[in-house]
Amino acid sequence: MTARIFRYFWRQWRDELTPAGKIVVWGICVTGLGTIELQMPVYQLFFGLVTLLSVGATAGYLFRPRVSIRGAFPDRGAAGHPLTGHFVVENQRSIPAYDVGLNVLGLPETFETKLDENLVPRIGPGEKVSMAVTVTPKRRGRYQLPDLRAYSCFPFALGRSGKAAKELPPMIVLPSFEPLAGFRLPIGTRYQPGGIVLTSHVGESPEYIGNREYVPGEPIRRLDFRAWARTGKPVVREYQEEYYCRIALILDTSVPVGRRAGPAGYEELEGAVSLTAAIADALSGGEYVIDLFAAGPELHVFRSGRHTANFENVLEILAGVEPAKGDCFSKLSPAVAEELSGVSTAIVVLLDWSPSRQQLINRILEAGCSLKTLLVVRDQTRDAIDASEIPECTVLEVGEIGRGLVEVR
Amino acid sequence: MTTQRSALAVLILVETIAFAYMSETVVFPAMIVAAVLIGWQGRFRYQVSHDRQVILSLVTALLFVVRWRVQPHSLFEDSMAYLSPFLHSLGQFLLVLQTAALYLQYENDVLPNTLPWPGVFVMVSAGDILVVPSQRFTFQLLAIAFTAATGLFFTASARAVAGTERWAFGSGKAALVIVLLIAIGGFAWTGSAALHRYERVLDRMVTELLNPDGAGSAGFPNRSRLGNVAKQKSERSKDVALRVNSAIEPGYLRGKGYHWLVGMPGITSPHTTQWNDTAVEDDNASIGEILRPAGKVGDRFRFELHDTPDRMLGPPMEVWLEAPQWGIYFLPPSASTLVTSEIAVRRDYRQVVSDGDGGVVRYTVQEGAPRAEEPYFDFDEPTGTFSREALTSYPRRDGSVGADPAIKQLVNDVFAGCTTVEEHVQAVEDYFQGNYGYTIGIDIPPPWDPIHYFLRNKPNAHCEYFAQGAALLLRMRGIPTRYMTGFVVAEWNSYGNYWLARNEHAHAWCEAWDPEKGWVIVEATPPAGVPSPEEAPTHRQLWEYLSGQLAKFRHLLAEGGWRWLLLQTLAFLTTPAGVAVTLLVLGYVAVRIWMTRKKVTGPQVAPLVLELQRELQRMDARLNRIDIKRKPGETLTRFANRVSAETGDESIAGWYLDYVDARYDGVPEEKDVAALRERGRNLHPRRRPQVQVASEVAP
Repeated sequence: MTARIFRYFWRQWRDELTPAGKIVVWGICVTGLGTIELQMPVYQLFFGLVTLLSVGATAGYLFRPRVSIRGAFPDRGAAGHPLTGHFVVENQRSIPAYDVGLNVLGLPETFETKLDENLVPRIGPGEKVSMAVTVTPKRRGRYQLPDLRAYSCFPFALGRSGKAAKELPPMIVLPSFEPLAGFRLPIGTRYQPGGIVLTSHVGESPEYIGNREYVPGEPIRRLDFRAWARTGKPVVREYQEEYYCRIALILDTSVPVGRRAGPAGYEELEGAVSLTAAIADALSGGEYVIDLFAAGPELHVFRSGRHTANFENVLEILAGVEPAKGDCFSKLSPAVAEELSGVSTAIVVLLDWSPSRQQLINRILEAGCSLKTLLVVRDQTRDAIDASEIPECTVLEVGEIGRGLVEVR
Repeated sequence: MTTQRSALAVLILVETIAFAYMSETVVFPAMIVAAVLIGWQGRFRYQVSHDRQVILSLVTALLFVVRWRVQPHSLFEDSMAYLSPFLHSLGQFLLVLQTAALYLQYENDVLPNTLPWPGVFVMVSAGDILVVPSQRFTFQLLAIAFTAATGLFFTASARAVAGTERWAFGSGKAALVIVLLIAIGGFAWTGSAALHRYERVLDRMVTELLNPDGAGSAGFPNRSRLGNVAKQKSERSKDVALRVNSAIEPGYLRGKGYHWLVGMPGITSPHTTQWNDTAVEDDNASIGEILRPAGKVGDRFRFELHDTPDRMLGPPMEVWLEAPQWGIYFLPPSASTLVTSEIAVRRDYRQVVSDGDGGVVRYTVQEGAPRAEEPYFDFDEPTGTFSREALTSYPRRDGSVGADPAIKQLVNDVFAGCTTVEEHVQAVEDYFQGNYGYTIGIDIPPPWDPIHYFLRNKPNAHCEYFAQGAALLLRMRGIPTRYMTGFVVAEWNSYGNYWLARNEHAHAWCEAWDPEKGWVIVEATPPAGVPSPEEAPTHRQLWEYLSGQLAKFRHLLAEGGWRWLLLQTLAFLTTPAGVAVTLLVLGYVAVRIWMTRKKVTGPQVAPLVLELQRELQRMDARLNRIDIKRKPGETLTRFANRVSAETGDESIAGWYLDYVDARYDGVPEEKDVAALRERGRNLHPRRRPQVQVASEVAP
């Protein structure tokens, strides 16, 4: 009960009062001390401010807007990039609505918006106006935002009155990333049993290149008997797809137990996710198949490239990757090990260094894969990790990743 | 000039007028008005960085602090009408701060929304004064004007932020706002007037809310009547009457003393006890002589209660009264010095009372040594107002208590064998305590004289009867006595660490003059009727402590004004609890800053990276000299390509590409850093020379 009352008042304070209204409330608190002793006239100021707030609230209630809201936000955006929705607001009362604002009140910490910046001075009865609302997600993820609310700051911009609201659909915030420059990887090809068909499980046919003469020792199932009949020599059909490059992109999501996330999440994890997205972006232009491995509370294994799935899908997966409290490699290592035989290159994005990580790296090397290890730290000069122990490792700072300054060699 | 700036100018002008009027100053407000009018026009507008704004504000604050210490503003120092010179200086500083905003250039020309906030303090500083009715009226008008200007400023701010600078009034909106402003003025005026008018009623309501048993006391009138103390004891008996901060148990605190007695109300006996037939004092008569202070202790005044001050004083007792309207200083028997906020008190042979209309809430008293001297009465004088006779008289007419042979026989029996005053005192205490019971509420059948009935029939009675009976018997033996009323303070509050007396602890006792010891207390009331050391239940103690603290806060605020509040806050911050609170706040701020700046602490393990970064900075600096700068978000490879294009020098571009390899291709090594350093020293970037177009087209 107490908690409910507290929440109610907290919401009133947070949503119903503008910054100006809060200043008046603080002014009332200060001048309220003046009511203790009436020999000094400070109490008159107290009554002035109380009346300002209460008359403002009463007028706000009487002139509260009753409107309909149509429109929507884009269903996805990128962390750190403003997301603007366009809405049409129609006044349904028979009196004008003054100083009407539209915004999402009570946004989660991971979003930013500027309230009361789009006030429309007047909407006549039955009149429609277009209003744009901009929110900026600070962190990737899948969100269900609170309702979009239309309110009025009339008459003195001290409070927000009116309850007209529109429910918003879920929103995906993709990780933001800067394209990688100078991306160079030790990439080779490996035989893929079953070709792309087996790899992708989508039934794509292997690509026919042409015929060539049969070399003794080759499997006879590829003999092209019609061509043999035409040419008089044994001829085989040649396909291209058995050999191509599969890249395992392994994302470390472990964060120390007990550490709390800031509004933008765990810095190094978000940096690692951005880096992973940037690598996937750099690879998406080439003829690669990318196997993404990430383990939070759930294990994510996702394959893309070569018509299996596009880069957007990778970003969606990365948007939903949650931090793993503690060591995530107990889940990750077996999943990676299953696929290592077909993987040409493994890119491992690490947040820390530990025996379980070392074990995974050793397995990758033993499987004959090329390796690139990227260690993401908040501050390279201060984080206590000896990177010289890590094979093929480059240490990257979160800030550099965010500014798009890193280069992966 | 934007609407927001105009609204701010109006706001500052209202504050300045209030400040000038209440503080009765002209020069400073006139300067502010001039500055506002010039700033309003917008000819002078300066771009000042946030850091510089902070520094300038601090320097200005320092100047006003110096001014406050060197030349504090005070209107009437004696009457303390202006409560706080510090607040006056604070108000001046904040006015300057607000005015400066008119000269500053802000982003999008939108002023901060917080500017009315210092205005509240300016108005508080202006109103921190004990006002006369005309000032109250004017300040009321100015407070309403300030409120209206604040509302308009916020409205203008909202429009400025929304980018709809024009007011876009019309369709009755302007009329609506005007009506609302008028309503604000009306309601504010009515509310203030109602609060002022019904202050006492509201005060009583609040007191009753805090103390549901009721409040108030029967009081201690000038005229002594049997039953006054009983009424005090029985009406709202559990109410706290006074609190005492003292290192020792205060015990008996004298309130009013009498050397005569008027009969009990409602008793119409022709023989009602009246020891002095003529000296019946009016309840409203002024008492004694005016005593002037001997010095000051802080803001309060010190009075010496004896002509020859004591050299050795006991621990101070700070007394807080719940019902100061009595106007009485409740003092211990050997009170020597009194410190109070009153500039004069009245003193006579039996009591010290307030010289003002009401009385003080708080005073401090210190005891000296017991004195065997009586400054008013001359016991060698046989007759007169201050003679021995005045303190030994008793009713002697026929039919009165003093003429009753049975009473005379009683006196002989009680004091048989007594020679000294001390023996008489002991005898009379023993007699009453051994032969009487205690109860409040005695029925005196008419037409008996109450004391006569009490002595003859030995009914159970309360302290007034025992005190009067003892006084009568002692006077019949020729010993000077007086009748005293006051409190016995013996209850302890563990939460507040103070002593307290409730109404039920009101008490009456007799005092006898001993030539060797002076006035000695004669406690004839049986022990059941004498307040004894005790403690109330825990919850009651806590509640009384909290309500006492509230009353104390209110009084101290009224006495010391907002300056007191500020100083108390500062004083609190120097206590262990205050230091703890300060550290918590500072810690919170530090954590916030730390989280904002994303600083991470830990051991430094990669000095090579630092060296690499230093080399990069050096190379960047060399290129800066020829005006080639890395852009935000430009990777080193892209930059290298640009450098190559702009300088035509592949070696510099190569240096950057090698840096990328050293930095991002695995962990940096010492030799890479050394090589880059060495190569960097030998590189001297120059821009590619401009191609001479004229020579190319020459025939």
